[in-house]
Amino acid sequence: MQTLLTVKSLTYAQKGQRLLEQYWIHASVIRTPEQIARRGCSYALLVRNDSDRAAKLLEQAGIQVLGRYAYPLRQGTDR
Amino acid sequence: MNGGIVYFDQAATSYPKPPAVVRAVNQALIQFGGNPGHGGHQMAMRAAGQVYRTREEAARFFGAEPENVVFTASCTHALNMALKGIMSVKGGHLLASMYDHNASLRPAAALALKGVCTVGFFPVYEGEPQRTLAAFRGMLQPDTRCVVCTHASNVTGAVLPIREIYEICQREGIVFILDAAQTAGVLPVSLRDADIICTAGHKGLLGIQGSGMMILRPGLRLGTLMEGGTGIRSLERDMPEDSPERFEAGTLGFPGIMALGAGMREVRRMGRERIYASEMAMAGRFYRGLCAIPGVRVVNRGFKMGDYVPVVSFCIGDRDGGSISEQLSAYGFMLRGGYHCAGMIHDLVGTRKTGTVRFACGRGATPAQVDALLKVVKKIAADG
Repeated sequence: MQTLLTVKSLTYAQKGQRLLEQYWIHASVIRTPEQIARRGCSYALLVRNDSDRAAKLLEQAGIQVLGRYAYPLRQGTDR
Repeated sequence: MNGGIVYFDQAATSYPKPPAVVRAVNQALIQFGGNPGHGGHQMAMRAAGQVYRTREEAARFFGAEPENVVFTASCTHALNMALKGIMSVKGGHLLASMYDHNASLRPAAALALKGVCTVGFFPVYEGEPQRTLAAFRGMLQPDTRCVVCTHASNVTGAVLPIREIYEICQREGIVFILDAAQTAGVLPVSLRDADIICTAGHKGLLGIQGSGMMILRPGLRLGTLMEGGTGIRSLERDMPEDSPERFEAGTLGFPGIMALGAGMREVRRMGRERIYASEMAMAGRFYRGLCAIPGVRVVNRGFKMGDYVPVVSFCIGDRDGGSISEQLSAYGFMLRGGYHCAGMIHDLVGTRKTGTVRFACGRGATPAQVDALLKVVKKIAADG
């Protein structure tokens, strides 16, 4: 199981990905599925492990985590 | 390449472009191709990754956060965005320098014409920073909300006392917008110097035409100049609150952004200080040679490292700058003649009737090229 951490924008998702890389936390930037996004297109970070730590690191860096969702492993998303 | 042509119009746009910049444009069009930030498929995401890479490069360059780097179509676009964004709430006073480009002067005038705010223009006394600062202080009003100022004149290359101006603005709670079109990539420019930096991507940063940036101090709130699709929150009617998406409606100029990233990396690789020193050496050679030609009036009031960027303006008698530029072009020298889209400086430097001919050199200019140009200028001046 992976965790989807939704953030405010694509740029924040990219910034978050770079930040997590520094802590050896692998994260992919993906488009948030519509049923989660609600307000229209958005982007999120898909984190396989350490999602609690990842969310904490993001918040500490000023990257607001809007939501956390369990996300099934699926071919093509496990990059 | 243009064989036999000598390009001395780097203040308008840099030429030639580094091979890495040309490669980046090709990569954007051939290798990436997707619309960055508009879609989640692989091509869109890979393009978005390249856009973010340029944001990071710019953030390093200007001491900013990547999310506060906004890509624009030009420095003019960035200045319009900054000025109209800050003055989006009606009222107050806006102050601009008389050495500014029309990219600042005209949006300022438009704001006044629409009754959004009152506008003042402070004089610049080239070579006399304390006198300039006194004039600036004298024109501040209790309701001044914003100051816009060019870092260096695109006509004479004179560097303005922007650090002191920003200090005054900070003390008075005024937003300071810096036009770094002529200095980014040549002089140090960072968010220690201004609340907002606006710059072109295709001059000293070596990118391609159609690229620019607005760089914001964290926490600054601005109204939008344009609204439209941002690739996020598409079901909402309002623009997103956060930079950069708030200010980047529509499809980004992706090839230009990739080229800008490559250009900034090239500046970093070559070393900004080294670039500045070598360009100033050639411009200084031209300035000194020009001063010795009878009938030529050099408009610059000096030419010292740190006080100028490599730009020199001159006049020959009462002839108009445009016609001299055409003559020089026929000899193979590309220099801009006229008013250089700077509407007010000519009243201060006495060139309203003629405009000027502007020399602006870049990397690769040689002493032999400069000397050959001086020879032609001497001939034109002697012929009358």
